[in-house]
Amino acid sequence: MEQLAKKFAGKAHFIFVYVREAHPGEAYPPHQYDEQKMLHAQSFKKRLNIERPILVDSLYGKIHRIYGGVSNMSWIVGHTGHVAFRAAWTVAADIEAAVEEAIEVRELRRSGKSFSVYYREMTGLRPVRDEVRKAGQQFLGGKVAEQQFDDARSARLEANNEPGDAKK
Amino acid sequence: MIERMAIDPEVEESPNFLGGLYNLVTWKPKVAEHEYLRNMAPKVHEMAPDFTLPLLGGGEFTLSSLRGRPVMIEFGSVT
Repeated sequence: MEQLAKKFAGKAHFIFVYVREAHPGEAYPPHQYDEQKMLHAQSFKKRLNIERPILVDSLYGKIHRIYGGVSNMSWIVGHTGHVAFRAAWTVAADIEAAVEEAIEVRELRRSGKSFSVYYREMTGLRPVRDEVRKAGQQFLGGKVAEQQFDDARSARLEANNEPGDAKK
Repeated sequence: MIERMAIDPEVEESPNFLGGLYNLVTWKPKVAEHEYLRNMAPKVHEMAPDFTLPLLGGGEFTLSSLRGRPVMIEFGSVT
């Protein structure tokens, strides 16, 4: 997202809203007070070199809930303030295409050219956690968070009788 | 004035959300959250609810102050 924010600088805004810990663990426990959430946001900015403006939601996620409450969701608001895109996950290729389209809509409207928009929905694919791990991405919540994730995934696979290498 | 979606009354400052604690103690599968996003959150073509939040580093930020250009909003955390 940082690269896209730079690519679209001057044409679109990119912001980050810091919400609850998706995978709390010993490294980043669940938020219990506002200052702790702010400290986690500072750590996030530093560890991942985030240059986008980071907004910190209230302790119990008032804005996060209004927008749907999914941990790493993404939204694009068009130049008129209307929702142009929403997704339960954040995928760079999807965002890039949607932002380009939102910019094009703005330019077409401002140029006075005739055009029409249509409504659409679609599902998306994202890599499972095991592939993310193989790619070298750390589980920043800590060992506790990682173990909890593995246990929950194993339980789900077993309950649904699904194959999966997390089932040990 | 930006319209706000009619939304579940649970959307207020409460430690609970969707039958559990908002601030997760352990990670859990996201089925309920995804359903909530699909059914209760603002939809495409609707006005995005305005908000003002503290900005890391100081000051405040209001979504509607960016009107005139598209805004990409990512929600997330370090974990």
